[in-house]
Amino acid sequence: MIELEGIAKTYADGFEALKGVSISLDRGMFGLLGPNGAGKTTFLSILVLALEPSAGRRIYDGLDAASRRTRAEIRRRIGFLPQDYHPIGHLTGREYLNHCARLREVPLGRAALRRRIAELLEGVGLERAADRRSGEYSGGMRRRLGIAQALIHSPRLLVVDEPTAGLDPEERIRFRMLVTAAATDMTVLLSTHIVEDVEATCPRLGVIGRGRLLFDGAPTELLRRANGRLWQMPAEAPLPDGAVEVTRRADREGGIERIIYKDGDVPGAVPRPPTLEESYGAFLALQGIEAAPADLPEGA
Amino acid sequence: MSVTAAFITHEIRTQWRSLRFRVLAAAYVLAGGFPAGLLYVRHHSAKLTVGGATYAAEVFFLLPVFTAVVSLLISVDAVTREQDEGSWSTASLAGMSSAGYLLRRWLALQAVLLPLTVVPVAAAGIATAAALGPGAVTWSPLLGPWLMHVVPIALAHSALGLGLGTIAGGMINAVLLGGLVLWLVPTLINSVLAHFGIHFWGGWLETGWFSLAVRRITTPYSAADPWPAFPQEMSESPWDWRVAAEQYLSLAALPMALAVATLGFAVRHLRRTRPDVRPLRIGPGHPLRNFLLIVARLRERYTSDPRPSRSDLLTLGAALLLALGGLALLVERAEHYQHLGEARFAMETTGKPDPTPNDVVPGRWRVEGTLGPDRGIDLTVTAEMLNHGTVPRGHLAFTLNAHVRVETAAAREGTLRVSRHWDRLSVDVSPPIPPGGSREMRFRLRGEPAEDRMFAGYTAAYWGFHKTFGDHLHAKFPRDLADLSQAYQVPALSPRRIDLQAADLTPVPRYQTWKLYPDEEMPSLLRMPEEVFFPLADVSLDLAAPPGFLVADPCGGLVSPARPGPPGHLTSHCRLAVADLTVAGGHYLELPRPGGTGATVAVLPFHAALGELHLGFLANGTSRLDEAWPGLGDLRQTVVLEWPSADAFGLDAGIAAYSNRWADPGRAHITVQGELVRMTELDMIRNETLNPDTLVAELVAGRLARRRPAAPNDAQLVRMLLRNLVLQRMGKVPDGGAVVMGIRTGTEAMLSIPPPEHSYAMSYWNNRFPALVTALRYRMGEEALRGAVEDVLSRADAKPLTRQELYAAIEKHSEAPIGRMIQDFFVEGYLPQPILEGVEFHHSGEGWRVTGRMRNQTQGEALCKIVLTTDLGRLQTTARADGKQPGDFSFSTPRRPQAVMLDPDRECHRLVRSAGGDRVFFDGVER
Repeated sequence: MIELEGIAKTYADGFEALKGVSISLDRGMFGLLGPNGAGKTTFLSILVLALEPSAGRRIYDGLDAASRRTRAEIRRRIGFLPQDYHPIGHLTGREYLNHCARLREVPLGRAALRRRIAELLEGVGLERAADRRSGEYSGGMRRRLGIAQALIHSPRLLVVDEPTAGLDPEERIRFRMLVTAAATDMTVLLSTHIVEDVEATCPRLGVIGRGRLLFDGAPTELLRRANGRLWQMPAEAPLPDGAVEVTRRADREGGIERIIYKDGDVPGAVPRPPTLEESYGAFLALQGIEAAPADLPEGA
Repeated sequence: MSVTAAFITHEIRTQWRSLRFRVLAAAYVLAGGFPAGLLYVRHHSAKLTVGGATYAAEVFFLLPVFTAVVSLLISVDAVTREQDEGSWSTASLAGMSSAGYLLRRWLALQAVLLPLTVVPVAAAGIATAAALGPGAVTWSPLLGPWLMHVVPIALAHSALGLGLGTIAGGMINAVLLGGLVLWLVPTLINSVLAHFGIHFWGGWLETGWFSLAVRRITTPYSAADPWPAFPQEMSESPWDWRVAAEQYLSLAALPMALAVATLGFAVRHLRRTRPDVRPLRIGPGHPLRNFLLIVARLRERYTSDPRPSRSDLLTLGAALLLALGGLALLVERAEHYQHLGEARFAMETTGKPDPTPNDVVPGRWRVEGTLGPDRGIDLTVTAEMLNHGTVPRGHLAFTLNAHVRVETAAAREGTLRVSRHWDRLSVDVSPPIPPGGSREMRFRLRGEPAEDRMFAGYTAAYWGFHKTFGDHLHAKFPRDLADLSQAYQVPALSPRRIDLQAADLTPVPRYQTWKLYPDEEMPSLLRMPEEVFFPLADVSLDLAAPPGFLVADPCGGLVSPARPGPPGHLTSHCRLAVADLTVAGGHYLELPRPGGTGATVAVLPFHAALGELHLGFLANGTSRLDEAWPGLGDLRQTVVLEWPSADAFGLDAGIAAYSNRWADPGRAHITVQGELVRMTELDMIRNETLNPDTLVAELVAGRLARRRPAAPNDAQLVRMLLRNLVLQRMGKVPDGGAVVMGIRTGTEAMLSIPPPEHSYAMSYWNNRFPALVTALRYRMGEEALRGAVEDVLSRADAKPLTRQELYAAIEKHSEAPIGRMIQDFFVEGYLPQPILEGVEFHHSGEGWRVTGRMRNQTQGEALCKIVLTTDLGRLQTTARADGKQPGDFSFSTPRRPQAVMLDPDRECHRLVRSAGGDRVFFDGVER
């Protein structure tokens, strides 16, 4: 169990990135959504001890990160795949994992470690590329190797930051499966702006915006909140009073239609069953948070 | 596999696969090993026979700078690359402490760097073996500097690079921060220490030698400018690790302290966790908003990591302690030598104690005990002092090496009170020694005799200790302070050589005052008067020599490991001035003595062939000695040693080579002390054969001089007179005879001086003085001159020979009047330049009359032969001219004149300039 309580972070230039985020994470997948600049990366950095919060407590399986004595032990329990991850390009995948294992003091003998690395490489589908230099890997292969390195020491908490950004659909699916498999006996925090990834893997998600945890619950709860309140209408039609635009997308005839959120009937609009993506968009829109272009659902 | 081993494996693997590293490593190896390769290519055409030490030295002139650069670049690159590549965030989650991470990283870097530094060194060894054979590879000159200089540079600069790269977080920032650390911190340290009279000048990388080495390698050899000559001659004498270690340590301590401290601070700046710093509240309209924002971000970036582990704190503490320890070591060394210097300076300033009265002279003098086996001596000196005066004498003064302790001192009768200050012993005996009486004293001496080398370079040697240390002591600005932390000791007993001078072996009676006197040319410069009184004593030696060494003394005693018999007691006896007592030795190879009558010639093993080349004729027995000066005996007792310079002990040993290159080409290649002869190693390794006659001349001059020591100010004159006499007896008369020739315009003044007291007036000693001796021989006759010399040398007078006494003897033995010549040439130093003037040829009646003048263009008496040549022979007369009065001459001859010539046989001491004026030809026109 990982408990974060009242985590706040104000950078030295006065920017308040987090304003008292509290959350507790148990075994399983947790998806973290939020637009750019919402504080996701700050939150993750604080979670993996890469950044010291300005306030708040962090407890990892009863170990308080505020104590200098426990930090080494906490680090040993964390696996992390950062957004800008690159393995050491001069090493092969196998060598790199071996190095990471030694760096993290994996208590395995030579043979056992070799087996563990082989299993991981097989698990991430890199067994054939294991003896190629990782500098020659594609983006997807690098991410998979990143997952392997994050898992090499069997962490209790796996944090993956934007793991599928830039991957093709096939790689994304493969990646989701990997992460899901890992979550059977550990806590996995998946930070992303791709709602589809969260929808496919996470029974629980959180939404961060303006430095606060705005939502923490099941995806169905987010869907429920939008259910019956989403409408689609031509883009050129005026926005009804009290409605907020969630997103825009191309219609079947090649025009642009927009999807709006409004309680109650909207004349001229067609009711629409919400997707998680649209529910998330509606949630942000209701919070007055404008999603950055990167956060717009695909097709808008 | 341990975590450390994993780090090492990782570092080797990643660096080896990195193109940047491979390029850097290749450049390092090629550049570092280049001098060895070049030397190998040129070794057949070199003007010197260089050995393994030179191969090693040439590589080590460059390697420190290269190693520092490569270590810094590789280590900064290693740490910043890891952070730049994006794998840092995963590496930073390792459970180990920051200290554990960084120290392992540093250790792993050594696994890459140290083998790399070996390659150029190995190249030097291989080049040596290829050029000279495997036996020529000497390990100490290769291993010593590598282990004590290159390796510490790699260790320190990689620590510095790792630390700076970690703290600064990027190559450019690291370089900027490095510049700041390496400049600012020493400056601050020196600013503080300046209040205590301490200053550290640094010089670990020896950049001066580096740039000179580059210049030497890239500049073709020119005899006119021998400074940049390649290769650099180095001593092949065995290495003294202790002396080298002392110097390397003093150079390394401060940079290593900085490196350790930087690495220690880096432990707190690993940035595994970015710290939380108090934010700056900057209003949106603040005029300095952008600047303050930058400041805020820099604060966040460079604030140390939060919540360090205990091991991180311990590591930082240990690093700071180590750094302080390094600093303390330097301060302690500086203080140590400061105290030694102050003690000496204070004693020199006081001028105490009073010297031994001249009428109390040594009688029997016995030195017995043990030399070594390490650097120490344990001796008992039984010294008898005789009072030849008319009043009782109770006060005596002696010189004794400052590092030799007087354990006990006692007199055979009465009491004896010894007080010791620096190298001076004041001995008061009670009751005083009565006139005609004697007093035997016994001193038990122990210690490690050594010479303190307080100041680097030759400047201090020229100015002398008192001025140099005085300037340091009364420095107005920190820049005037000397770096005494770099002082070191040259031990008298060392694997390199044994060089025990008299004051290292025994208290040496001091007759000259210890009061400083102002230098003649620069009165503000105070100099310590040298001893001038050298009464002879019955000296006997019985010394257990250190095993494995060949050891000799001036009485003819010799211990050699190559000779049969029990190892070594140096036993000898002779009549010798106590001040001339010396014991010299080393690890030598004796040249064979086929006839058994020659000298014992011992050279460094690598120089056996050179020894045969230069000195073989001495080992084979020589009759030249008797030819040169009858009655001097043979060479059976003489021991000739190849002699490494004392500069060979210093890290700036190249200075010795340079001074040798500039040295007087007519200088003595050997020094003679009784039966002990030393030939400078740097002369030995020259490929051109030295003229044996000059060696014999020096040997004879040394033997003659031994009969009666000369006063210090006149010793050079006496030595050169004897040397030139011997050479001329052997037929080596100067080409110009008594005439000084081939002088460049404008340099006449350098020759128009009395015989200097020093040896570095090369033009005078090599050009004018041989001509002057020739003129003297022509004027008074060779035997008369020799008789005068024998006369002064054989006088049983304890007083040193002075030039005045010598001049008086020459004048006395000369049948021709010679007083004016001595006065003008020796005392005043005049050098005449006579020319012919007003030469007229008149035909009168049946004959010819030729008249003219000889005019001296400068001062002094020119007493020269004037020759008139005719178609039937020559006529001659003598003309005398000085600066004021020309000398007229005239000839009458019935024959038709051809020419008038001034001193055509070159018997008249004068200067001939290229302008001519010493002959007038008759062109058929009467005047």
